[in-house]
Amino acid sequence: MNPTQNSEGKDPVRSEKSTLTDTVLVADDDPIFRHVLQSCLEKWNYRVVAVENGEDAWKILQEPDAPHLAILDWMMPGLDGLELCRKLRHRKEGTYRYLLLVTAKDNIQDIVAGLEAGADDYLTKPFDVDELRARVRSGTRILQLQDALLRAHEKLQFEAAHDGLTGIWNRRAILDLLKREVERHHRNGQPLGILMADVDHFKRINDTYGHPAGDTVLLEVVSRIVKSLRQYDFVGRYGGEEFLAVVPGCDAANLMASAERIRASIATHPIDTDAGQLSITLSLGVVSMQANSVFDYESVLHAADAALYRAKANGRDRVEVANSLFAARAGLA
Amino acid sequence: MFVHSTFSSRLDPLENDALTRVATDALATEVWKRDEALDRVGGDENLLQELCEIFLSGYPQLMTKLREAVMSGDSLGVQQAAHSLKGELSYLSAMQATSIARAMEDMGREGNLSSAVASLTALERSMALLHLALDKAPGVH
Repeated sequence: MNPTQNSEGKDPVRSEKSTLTDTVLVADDDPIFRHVLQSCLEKWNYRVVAVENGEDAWKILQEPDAPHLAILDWMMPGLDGLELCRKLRHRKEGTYRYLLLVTAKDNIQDIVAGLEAGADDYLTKPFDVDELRARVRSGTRILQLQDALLRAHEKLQFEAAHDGLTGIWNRRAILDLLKREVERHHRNGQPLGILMADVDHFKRINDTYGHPAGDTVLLEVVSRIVKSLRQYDFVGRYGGEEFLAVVPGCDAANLMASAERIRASIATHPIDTDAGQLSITLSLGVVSMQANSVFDYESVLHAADAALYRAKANGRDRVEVANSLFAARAGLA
Repeated sequence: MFVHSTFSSRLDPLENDALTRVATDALATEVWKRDEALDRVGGDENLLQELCEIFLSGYPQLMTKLREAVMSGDSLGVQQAAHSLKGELSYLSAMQATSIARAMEDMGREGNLSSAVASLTALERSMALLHLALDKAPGVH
């Protein structure tokens, strides 16, 4: 599930993830500096993880929930701060870590080398606490900005692929998923099922009971379709009241059973709306792709559409299966 | 020692006493600039006390490392031990000892330990004075 899905109304910077930007890793072999850094940072309400050497710091920084901000002493036995910066920047994956390198005042060249190795900022010993505070603050600010950007990006990505009303995949995304699954099916020969479903007489519901009631119907229909399928099946909104489900690894008999389960789940229980209880039915067209099937992405859509059309023509509230041979020919023609 | 005996032979006892006091005060600030160290930790007396205690309990070990490195002609060892000492001493504003430690770090880096023994003696003397000064400081222990 996408993490932005439940974050509506929350300030992206202040939600639970931001605690990671409030934790600081301190790596210094000197007990005095460890103590100064730890007590000052704790006084300013940061959480502190303090270690005595570069190896321990490296171990912690590789963990997925590692602090996002690290204060690293340049001179440490074993793995020093400079090497740590290099190693961390070498990693391509993972969240950005803000690295504050601490070096002795007398060596300006250290600073240049440190920044080139990937440090974001530096502190020179003996630093005073005001400077420390300012540097840590600027690091936190950058991390929070980055966090906010990341969340905005995730939110946009989610919105670009999901239907605003129902929260399921939108038309473009479900078609992409269908294409991907059809390709996978041709590679590995695993069965693949496609269900196309349409709410019967939906226009009449909207016209008679109003759009809010229509929206409630759509939401409830989606909820029942999703509940009737497995967690790893894909359900998308194909059109206004038309839905497409992509069901990988499901043989013809099970696919038919799923389609029938969906139909029955809608037909047997009326839907509660503000305009009262409404009895709704759903028509479904089903395509089952078995090994060696000749369906391609386009023809499978045609076949599902044709089966759905037959379900409508044959009285609605029913499931029709595509004739694979016929549909394949139609698709290839 | 030499300077002191020259003074005492040339000055009458009273003057000599006053001068010694001035010299001692001057020396004292060079040994430990307490105000500067306190400023550095943002005026936090408790934190400064804690740092002095950590220093007092930890520096003898660093001095032992430095002494052993000097005696065995281990330049890298001298550089590392002097570097650690220099960091702590400069943080505490122990001016005199900081400059000796810094000089010894340079000697180690350059691989020239010809005057390391003399510097080590000077550093030991300076550390003894610093120990006394920190020890007497209010709140330490």
